[in-house]
Amino acid sequence: MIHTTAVVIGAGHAGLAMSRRLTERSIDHVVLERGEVANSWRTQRWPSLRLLTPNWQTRLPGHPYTGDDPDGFMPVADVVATLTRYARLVGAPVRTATTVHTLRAAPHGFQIQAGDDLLCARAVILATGACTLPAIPGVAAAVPRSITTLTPLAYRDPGQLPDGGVLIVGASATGIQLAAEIHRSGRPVTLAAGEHVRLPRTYRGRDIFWWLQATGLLAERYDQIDDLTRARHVPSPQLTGTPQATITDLNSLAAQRVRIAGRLGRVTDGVAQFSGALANTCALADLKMNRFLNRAVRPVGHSRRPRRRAPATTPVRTHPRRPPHPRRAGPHQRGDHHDPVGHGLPPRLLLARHPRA
Amino acid sequence: MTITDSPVDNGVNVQALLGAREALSAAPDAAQFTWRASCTWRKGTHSHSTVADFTGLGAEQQHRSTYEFDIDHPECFASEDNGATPVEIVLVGLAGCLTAGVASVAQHRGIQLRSVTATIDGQMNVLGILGGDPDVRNGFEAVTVRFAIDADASRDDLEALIAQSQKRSAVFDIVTNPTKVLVELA
Repeated sequence: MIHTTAVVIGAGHAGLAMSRRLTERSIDHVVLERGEVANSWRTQRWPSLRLLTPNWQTRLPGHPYTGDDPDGFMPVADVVATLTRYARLVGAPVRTATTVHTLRAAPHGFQIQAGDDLLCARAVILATGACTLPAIPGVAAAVPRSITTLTPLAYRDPGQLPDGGVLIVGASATGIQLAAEIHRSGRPVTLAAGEHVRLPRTYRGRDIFWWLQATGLLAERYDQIDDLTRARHVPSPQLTGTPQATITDLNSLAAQRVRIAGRLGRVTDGVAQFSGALANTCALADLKMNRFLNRAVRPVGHSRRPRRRAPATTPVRTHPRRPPHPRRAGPHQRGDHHDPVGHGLPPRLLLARHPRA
Repeated sequence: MTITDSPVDNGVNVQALLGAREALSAAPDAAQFTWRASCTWRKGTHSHSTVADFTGLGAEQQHRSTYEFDIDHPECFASEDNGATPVEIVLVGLAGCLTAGVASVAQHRGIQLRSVTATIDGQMNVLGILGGDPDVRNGFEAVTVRFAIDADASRDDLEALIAQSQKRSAVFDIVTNPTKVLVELA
């Protein structure tokens, strides 16, 4: 039995930051890690992924970003290197390759079974991450077995997919990034988009995360939010961290001829049905984005009404199998939202719903 | 300002709706409703439907009176046109649901409505129901609803109003998403 004051579960950025804070206060502790430091980043992320936050925001207690590209977006390999360096720097007492099997309340705190060790601690900090389990929608059970299905945790690159069309389910950050990457590999891509959050990569010359921080939104605590359930179900914004700070959204994907469909509703006998509510989910996202840009951004330092620099409203273009009204099938017209109900399911399915803890 | 003090009155009791949300979240069984209608064949494509009762809030509920609907096909379908077509009834349901939503959301957001008119159309290629083209579906290819709203609100607020109305609409969900339907012999 190992006695320690605190046990931190997970040696990612949250666990390591916590370790540093505990060390500052001379609180003895152990960090338990199922794999290596930054394990999820090493084993459950696709290599082309970059952080959505600009580098200047990639900072840990006592360790600001000091590189030469503060406005860039860190590739996943650099995230791993940064966290590994930080673990050494702060001397985090990490026990790697130690999986926690049970955690239970004990008379003076908690008892933790980790590997062959039994630990006893007054406090436990869960820092296992928000994206360690994929959220697989129930409809996946109806997908024919002949179709390869993957979650983002197992996805690495388009070469891993068999040839043929790909359906990406979910159009938050992960879904739009994978749609763009897989489309570039030459595979026909359909992106099923339910309710989503849209933000421009930059606004009035600054990265959107500058605005999110300046408006105080990032500092908002859970107990300052009136409807926590709703807040916890807000999808992650459609953003990509590319060196060029490009905007990837449904408009740009549709312009590249990624087919945008509504939320995946049902799969019956190998045929997928998508929601016809796509126009409204896009309208809701546009309204929410413009509310944020107009109202929240204004008090930060622009007295005059912000320009509607605009990410254009989402026109919802899809490509029906047989356009019933050719005169309405032109690109970029609102109203051209015939839903591809009954379209044959592309032979590969990638489930990219935003994972939730 | 609370809703009861608000000078805005669209005739929607928002307090009751918010109270119901809270009460039903705590008592999920009572939130389970069953809506029903019965339909009797008259002659040809003419049928007569009634709506009188439903189950909800853990009990049997009665409408104030029995509502009746005649349903038929038009004369150009070689029918007698004794009532609206079934697909028009669907449009009526969608428009009514969205309009109720507009009024409720407007009340909640403090928007005074003076008039709201929805015009709705559904495009359909009848070769589908006639079995004339296997690639044409039976149902609507698309449905368009246009709201003309006279209210004390900006165009952005009205856009948000109709967006939220769709987001919370039962019939919008029924029409836009697949629903499991079982038809069997009694």
